[in-house]
Amino acid sequence: MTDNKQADEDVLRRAAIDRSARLPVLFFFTSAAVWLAISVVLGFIQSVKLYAPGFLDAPWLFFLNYGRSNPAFMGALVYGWAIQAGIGVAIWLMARLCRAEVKNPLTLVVAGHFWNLGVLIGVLGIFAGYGTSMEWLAFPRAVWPILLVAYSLMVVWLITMFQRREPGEVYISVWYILGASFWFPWVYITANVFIHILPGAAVAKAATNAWFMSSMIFLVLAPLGLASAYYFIPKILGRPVYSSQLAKIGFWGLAILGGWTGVQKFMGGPLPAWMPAVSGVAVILLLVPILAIAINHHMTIKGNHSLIETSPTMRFTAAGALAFTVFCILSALSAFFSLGQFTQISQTTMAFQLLAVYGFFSLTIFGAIYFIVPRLVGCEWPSGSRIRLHFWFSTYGIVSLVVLHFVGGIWQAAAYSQFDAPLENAVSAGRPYAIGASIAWASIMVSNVMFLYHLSLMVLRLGRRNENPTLLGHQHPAA
Amino acid sequence: MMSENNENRDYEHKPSVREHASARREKQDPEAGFEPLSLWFFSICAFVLMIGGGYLGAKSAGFDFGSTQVSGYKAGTPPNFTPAGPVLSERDKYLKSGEAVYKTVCNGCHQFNGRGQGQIPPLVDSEWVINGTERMAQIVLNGIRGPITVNGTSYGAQEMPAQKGALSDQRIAQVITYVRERFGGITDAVVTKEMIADARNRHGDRVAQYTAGELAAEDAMLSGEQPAWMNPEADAAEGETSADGKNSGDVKDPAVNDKAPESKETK
Repeated sequence: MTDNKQADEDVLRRAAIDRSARLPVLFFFTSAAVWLAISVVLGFIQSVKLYAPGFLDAPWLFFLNYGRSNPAFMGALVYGWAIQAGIGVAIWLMARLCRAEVKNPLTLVVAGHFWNLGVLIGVLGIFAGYGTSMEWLAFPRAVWPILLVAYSLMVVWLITMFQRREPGEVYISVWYILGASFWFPWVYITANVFIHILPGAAVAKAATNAWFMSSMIFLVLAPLGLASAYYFIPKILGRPVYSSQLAKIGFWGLAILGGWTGVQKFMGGPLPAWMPAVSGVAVILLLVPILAIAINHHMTIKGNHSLIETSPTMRFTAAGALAFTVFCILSALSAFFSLGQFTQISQTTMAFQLLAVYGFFSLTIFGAIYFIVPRLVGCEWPSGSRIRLHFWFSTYGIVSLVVLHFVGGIWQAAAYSQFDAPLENAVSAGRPYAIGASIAWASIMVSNVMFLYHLSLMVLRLGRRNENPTLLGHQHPAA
Repeated sequence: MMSENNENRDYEHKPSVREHASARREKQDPEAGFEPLSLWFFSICAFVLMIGGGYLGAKSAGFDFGSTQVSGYKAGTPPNFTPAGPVLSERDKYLKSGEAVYKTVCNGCHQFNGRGQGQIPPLVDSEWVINGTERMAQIVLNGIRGPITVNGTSYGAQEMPAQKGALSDQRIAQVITYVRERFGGITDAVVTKEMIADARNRHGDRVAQYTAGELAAEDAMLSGEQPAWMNPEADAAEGETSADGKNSGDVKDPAVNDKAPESKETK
């Protein structure tokens, strides 16, 4: 009897927390999904522009040339979609795991508005020709303080929430969220200072840029994505995470090693040899925490694979976690010159970035969104088959994109290294793969424009009025 | 649980059931378990650490800021390697240097095609270029002003400044050789820096620019030996082209002839 009462109280508590988180979390999810839709359309365009510059080539479409659509797409994907959606998930997880209702949601919404304003100015600035040509830092110089201030506001909010937590064990996801809170400002300020404010030699800028991209993946996107995976995998299975020791090894390993990575991209380049060497050893040693995380997730799921069949959250999260492991193994292998010489200056760069940002991070966050949104809006996802399509179009898209860019990049780099052959050979070697990549992009584009539509239906409360969740199996025919 | 068919009735009659349905059906919040670590995990970690240590030792080049290469690296020449680019003869190099001087110093007035502009006389087929080198060296060293007749046309509103302070003997020799070859079609002799040094000794003290009447005679040549690389065989071979190409302006750079009419129109 008391158990039932306790359970009822828990339910009401959870429902109250969800209600309090509704405004900021939905704000971040919807604006992120809009940026995602914009970015995948730009991603498709830039992938076609790579081999067919005449595509969409009207005088008034001057801003769509490859040199602008490519950084604009990456900026919109990383800052518009990835970080913003990650923050949305982090807010909800933080509220749930601290078992405290969201206070001052307006702080978050204001910070979110500034963030979106920054991304908008950034993308329009790139279109207008004011991009900085630094990868992942292509927004015009004036933008980064806006983004930094907006993010800092969210960090202050997250820490205040942490202060208000209910006493007890701090769960793994909270470690990762707090980690990402502090690491993003550190990485972002450092990179901008050494690239925009106190620029050193050109090679130092390039090294800083490579370090920044890698650190963004390992210290910002990875913690946010792993926080989500560590919450939703055991949550949906209803069992504890396999081992807290492995979780600690995974967390501290990532925290210690993540910030050393990136410069291995320039091995053999005009930098002191120890710089790429240290980054190279960092990505190799990262295999230890990655292995710990992978074992932890695998052992937690073990014996319950059927849930991957039915639960959208579980399926997306498991696919994302797998992509993270693959990304880390490929990164470690590329630290060796025998593979690295083919992956440093070719299309493979795109394969790595997309595997991390889309394959790992976005899929994991999709999983979280499919879980969280029904709790915020009080209705269920309208269509299971649409979620299924989103999953398959996304995974087929990203897998073929990564394979094509990776293999195509190896051919391309092999042609580059033929010193006595014309440079044109390298372009034509990569060309068929670039064409294939456009088809994969089309699939990703379709799936995410559909996702935006699906999410809009939910935000407008046009979902199914039902007490059962929308699942992927055939138990619940699409309503 | 699986009451899909009466879901709407539930909603109608008991809204509270649906209201917290998602919060109600979900499982407990996760916590961390306490399974022990397996020995396999530690073995794999040890293996990875070993590889990492070996990697760092092999590639860090002793953490030396000055070394951009891994220790033991030797730059080699790839098989079948031939240095890229054409191999220039000594004479071609001499002319290339002359062209570089022409482009920095003479280009602005006489134009790259050597046809001059307005009151600046042309160099192409000019008797002042084709004939004696003595007076040409005088003009370059000290400059010239006042009326001058070139190819039957009179010029003179513009004056040419002295170049003796700006250019070394070597540079003057190279640019004169270049102008004579390119605009005069003269390929059988070059002007050496010794010749210019001699001319500078004789004329270098002059303060004012020359006027046309003050210059040396039309056929006075600078005296001096031709360099060793101007061997007789090369002379014989190129004598023919000079005979053919003497009055056609430029044989080396056909673009000059194509561009010439255009530049006249724009004037």
